[in-house]
Amino acid sequence: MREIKALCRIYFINMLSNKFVFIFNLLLPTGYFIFQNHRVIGKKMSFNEQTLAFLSYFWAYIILVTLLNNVIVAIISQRESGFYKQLYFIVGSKWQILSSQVSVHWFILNIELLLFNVVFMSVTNHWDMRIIFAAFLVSVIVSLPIILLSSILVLLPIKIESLNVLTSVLIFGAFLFLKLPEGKLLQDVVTMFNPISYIAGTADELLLGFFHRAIASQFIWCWLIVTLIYSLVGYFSVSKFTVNAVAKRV
Amino acid sequence: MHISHYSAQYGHRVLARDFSMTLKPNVVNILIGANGSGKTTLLDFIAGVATTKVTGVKYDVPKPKQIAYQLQQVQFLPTLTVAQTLKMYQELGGKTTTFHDDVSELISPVLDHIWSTKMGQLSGGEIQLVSTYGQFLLNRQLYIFDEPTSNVDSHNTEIILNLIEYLVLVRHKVVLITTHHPEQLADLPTHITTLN
Repeated sequence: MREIKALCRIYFINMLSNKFVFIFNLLLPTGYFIFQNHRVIGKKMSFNEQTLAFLSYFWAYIILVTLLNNVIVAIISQRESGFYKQLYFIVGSKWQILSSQVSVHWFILNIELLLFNVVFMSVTNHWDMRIIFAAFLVSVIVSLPIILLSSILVLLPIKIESLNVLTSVLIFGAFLFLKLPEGKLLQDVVTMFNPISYIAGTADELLLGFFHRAIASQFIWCWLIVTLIYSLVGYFSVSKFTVNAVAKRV
Repeated sequence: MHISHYSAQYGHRVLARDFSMTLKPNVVNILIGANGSGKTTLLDFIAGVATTKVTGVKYDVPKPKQIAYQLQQVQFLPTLTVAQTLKMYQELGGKTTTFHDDVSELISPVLDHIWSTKMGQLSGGEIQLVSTYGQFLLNRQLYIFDEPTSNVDSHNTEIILNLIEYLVLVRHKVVLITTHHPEQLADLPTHITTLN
């Protein structure tokens, strides 16, 4: 525990020195949300199904981009620079390093979601603590599966310089292929395999569960199947994860 | 500690075939070899992080958790200060000594000047020195240094070699280093192995 605490402090100090990522993770979606809704600022809005679905896609963006950039891309760039290998021989466990990094950025993710939700409730002029709690719950439920799925990127022999381009393409692609026709379970599973659909779907169902109706049973089955696939992908990737750089010798 | 039947291949290049070496206590074990001869690959094998195209048998070599391994191109988070970096070593690596404790006269004149400097603002030689001192703060059975004095000036080289000497002769640790300048260690008890 002492090691994880010390590692968390190191990653926290390092993260605070790289404030630019917050522009991409938080300021960009927040600015876009305000721009989209500037005409209704201050008018009291109800949280109908459409509003909640709209909100869930913003959460999905913040969660996916934060976990990809701050956790997966950071792990790959640290490994390729040799820092990860050096740290491994100081700590003695790759699990402690990974769990510290995930913990710090999961905490940051929740701060980002909280700030976004404050803006959201200010714009809609509707304050409800269930929004804050639902966002926290979504981050608890989806963060680990998303990290596990994204960890497949650590197996790619990709240069650090190309990594940000790749993640931008993946995020863009995830939004581009967001919706397949809804209907049968298999179609829903294929749709939900897209991480944006997975996060937004989870968030939407939870929000609907909080505000309107019970969570749909087909959604739960679909979610369990996709989470299992994400976990298998993650298990495979993490078991193959090496502390050595993949793209070049360090 | 002993390594035998070591064979390594990097792409199509055969780096070693049926190579053996022994790591002795109370001397500085030096591994020498030309550039590209596979010294780092051998160190990775000993440290337990080798790639799959490396085979061999290790006798009495500790597990990675009991090995301190300083890489050739030392990397740290550039935003951490020297103080934060060394504190990290102390907190993460099993505390054996406090800062400036038993080697204070040796290290403090250098560290005092850069204590609050960020790692990203240090010269290559200063980074090597901080890293070597960091390894010194760890309590391990085996210490591996991959070219610890490359790009280091003569004054800092002397400090680094004194730290390594202290590990061997005072703490009685097994130390393995690679270098292209074995003459720098002429005053120390050494055991040299050549990797052809």
